Amino acid sequence: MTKKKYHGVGIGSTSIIMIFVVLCLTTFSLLSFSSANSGWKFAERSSDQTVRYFKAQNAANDKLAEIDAFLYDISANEDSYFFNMPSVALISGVSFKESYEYFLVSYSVPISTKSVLYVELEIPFSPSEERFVITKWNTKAEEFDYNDDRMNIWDGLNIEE
Amino acid sequence: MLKVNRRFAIRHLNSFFQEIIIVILFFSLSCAIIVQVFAKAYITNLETEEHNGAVLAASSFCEVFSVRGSLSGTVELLYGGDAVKFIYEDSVKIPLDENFCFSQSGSYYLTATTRAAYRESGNVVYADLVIFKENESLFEVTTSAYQAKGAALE
Repeated sequence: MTKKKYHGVGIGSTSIIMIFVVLCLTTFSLLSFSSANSGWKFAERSSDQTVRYFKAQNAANDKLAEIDAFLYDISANEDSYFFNMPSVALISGVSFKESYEYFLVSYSVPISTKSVLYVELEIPFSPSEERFVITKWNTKAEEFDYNDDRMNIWDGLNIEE
Repeated sequence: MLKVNRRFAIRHLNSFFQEIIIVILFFSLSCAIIVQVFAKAYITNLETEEHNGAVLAASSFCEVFSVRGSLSGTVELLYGGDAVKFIYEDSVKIPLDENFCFSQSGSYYLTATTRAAYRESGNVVYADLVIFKENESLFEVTTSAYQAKGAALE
């Protein structure tokens, strides 16, 4: 007696293929969605940084206007101009230095927790038509203010007899 | 014997078709969800591209405005002389195409409105910039420029 064997697609093979295809499609779709989502998040972060930069620029322009108003006021009197100049440091956040050729006024405006917009102005020693020249207007990394918490221990010198 | 084999084959075929039907149903349901995820990814990509274009167009405008300090100077430099006619007093509404370049009839618009803080020594001119598409704002930013006046010399 010859036994007839059934030749054909076995039950379950289509299910296995389908499961494999669905898994592949699910993986690809999730990968593409994840990629698109991270792209969107990066674009949002980038636009937030742009907005923050221009906000800092607006604040820097406001401060510049304040400094210029001070220069405008003191330039009315040429005799006291030179002596009045250090008072520019009374404007909050403004630092003042004197070099050989001009006064240096600088200030910085925070952009984020890690960066600042740094502005430096050169101001002539005597009042002139051009009250200031902007020499620096750039972003810088925020300088960390390290706390000097060192213990006051004996350094091995100054032995008292 | 032949009858038994035939009955077995029919039963086998029946269960095969049953499985195929279940597989097709499950596959179509899965595909409906997967296609939605693909579509969402595609739309997110398009929105990202649109957002990046808007940010780029706005930041270019802001950079030029912060140096020039006027709408006409900024618009002329960025979009050419033809775009100057879109300036109305202290505001401008420029149509932009899908590449955020100036075009006479675009789907995107760049609007900028200027205001100034006057001082005796000089003015700070602000420009409130919005890029929008069909009344939906894509990006908003405010920029400024300082314009110093002549010195008050004796």
